[in-house]
Amino acid sequence: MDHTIEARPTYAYLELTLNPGEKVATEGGAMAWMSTGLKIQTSTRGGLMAGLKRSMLTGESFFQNTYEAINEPGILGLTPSQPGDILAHQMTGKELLLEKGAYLASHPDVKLSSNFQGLSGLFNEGMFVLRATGDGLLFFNSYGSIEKIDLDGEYIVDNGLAVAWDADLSYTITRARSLGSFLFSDQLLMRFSGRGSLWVQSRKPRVLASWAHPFRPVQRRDRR
Amino acid sequence: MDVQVEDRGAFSWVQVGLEGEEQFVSESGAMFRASTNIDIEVTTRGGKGGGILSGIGRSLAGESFFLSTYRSLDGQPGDVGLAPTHQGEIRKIELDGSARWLCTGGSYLGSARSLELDTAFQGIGGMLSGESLSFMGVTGEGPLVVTAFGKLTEIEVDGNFTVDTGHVVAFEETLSYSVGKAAKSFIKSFLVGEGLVLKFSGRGRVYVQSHNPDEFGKSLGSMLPPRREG
Amino acid sequence: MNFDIDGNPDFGQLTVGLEPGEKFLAEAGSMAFMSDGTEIGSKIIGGLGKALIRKVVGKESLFVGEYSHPTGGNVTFSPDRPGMIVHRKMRGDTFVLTAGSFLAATPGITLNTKFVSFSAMFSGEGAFTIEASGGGDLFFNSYGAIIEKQVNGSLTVDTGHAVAWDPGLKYTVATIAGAKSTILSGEGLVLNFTGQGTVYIQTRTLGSVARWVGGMYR
Repeated sequence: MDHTIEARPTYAYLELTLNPGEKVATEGGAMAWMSTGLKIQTSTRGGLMAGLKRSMLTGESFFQNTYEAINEPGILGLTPSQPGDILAHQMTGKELLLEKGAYLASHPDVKLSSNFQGLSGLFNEGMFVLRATGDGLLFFNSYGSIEKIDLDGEYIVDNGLAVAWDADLSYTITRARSLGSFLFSDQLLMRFSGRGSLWVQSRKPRVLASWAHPFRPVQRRDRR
Repeated sequence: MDVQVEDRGAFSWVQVGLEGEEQFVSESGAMFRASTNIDIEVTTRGGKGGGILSGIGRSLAGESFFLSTYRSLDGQPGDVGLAPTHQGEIRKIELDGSARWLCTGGSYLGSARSLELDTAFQGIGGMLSGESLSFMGVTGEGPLVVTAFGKLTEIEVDGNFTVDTGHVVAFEETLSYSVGKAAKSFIKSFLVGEGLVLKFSGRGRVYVQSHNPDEFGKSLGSMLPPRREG
Repeated sequence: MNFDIDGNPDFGQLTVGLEPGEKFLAEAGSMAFMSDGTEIGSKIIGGLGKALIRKVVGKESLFVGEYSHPTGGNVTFSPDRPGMIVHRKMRGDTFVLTAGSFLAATPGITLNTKFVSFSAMFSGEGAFTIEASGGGDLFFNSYGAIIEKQVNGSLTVDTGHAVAWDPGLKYTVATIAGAKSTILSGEGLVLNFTGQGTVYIQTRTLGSVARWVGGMYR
């Protein structure tokens, strides 16, 4: 499988070339273009159909598509939802944790499972974290630019900025003093410690969501 | 105080270095990194002598407008990294005390604490055609950091110049300005999708942005899940 | 008329220098700044019937602005979304644009709208494509970067990512083959292009960003 990442760093895309028999797993919804002959399979991770449908509206679900070239080579162009960059990371047995929105694609030997890291007692406050295990290429994306930090000690970062990190690192999610947005009343911080790699992005998704909130259509009182 | 614009195209940011008693103010939420000796205080205004201005949570450009003030806890050098809401270029304007600058709420990123911010200024046009034009007055001496949605262009006006209001970032009050319609009639302006324009005349600098956040917001907003009223 | 595109690929903006009396058409809402004295008129694209469809399915404005200056002047335009602006010289040929990607054109270019159902439902844009024909300068834009793909037989493109294409290409609208359902697979509808020609593809879509942002609200 060949890959190329272009249009960096603002609107990066990933183009893969699959030879017959080769497969790649991707985030559902990432396909921008592909050779018409590629075979596609969808899988869902956890949750019942009803829950899945509901979570589709809130963006909480996680599922992957698998693309396979059958008789001839094929190309597959993948784009993330958010503006920003894409990185290729070679997994070699070390587990990696990813913020859900950062996952773009992976070699089929890389297994992903999702879980929610919340603050106790709070619904929908926290972050969805994916755990990646196995060997193979993993592609993740960022909102803004990506920076890799080789950590040996402690590092505190706004949880909206953490993209991916070695599972070896310990971390806790804590609440910090309010920074005033009425939508997101508390800032959540991640406190990392140990030795390992950590990737952070330069823009906070929450800031964009706060700005966009007044532009949302207003729900009518009379529900149908 | 050291204010450095890190030009990274769409994802530019600003690095502010503080030591001693220096203080810097920015819109809350802009900070994305800070050294451990930086203290952050959230206020609802940053102006004459500190304290809370009437109009807590005052709406500026439709959202609650909160400011954070940064300073070094121990007097030793520390830095703060600030990022704007939108993709685009950033410019540092060194105010020299000679003229007041007017800056749109969405374009204000930060300023030295020594500058006075008048968030109560809503002097232009009022509620013509439903659009509210709110600008923030900045006076004093020191650095003001403004951001653009998209490309930031500095225009040296000497005569007349017309800008769609959504594309105004900041301008010197040495200029005369008036609100007008883009086309000869309100109907025509509405039909052509243009709202209000600011007509500048005289001499002074105007900073404009290539893209209009309201236009982008409308396009994006129509695809977002609905919200409850209020 | 002379023109300059500045700011590609992150945030392209188009500046045109108009000769006295020369006319220029641009998408509603795209004017950023202009020389004093510029005159603006309005024009309906597609006729009232089709225009109503545009309005009904969500695209606010169905008009374009017609710009001119009696003594000559400059006008700068930018699209509602940051990305690239592409100039295409039209020489009596035809070109297809999707809703949201038309930015501006010189008057020698004829623009016709064509109602298509795929656009409105999944990409969140207006329910039409625009057929541009004639001679002159055409400007179109993207959200994100634009890449050109040569179709040599067939190519499948997600509808939200397709910006423009050569009219010689045929296409059918489909759900992704093999997916259990379109909602589940995350992809909306796709365009299966066949034939020979160029497709312009954008590397981001407003619909995807909206889904991502929407997921952050409680």
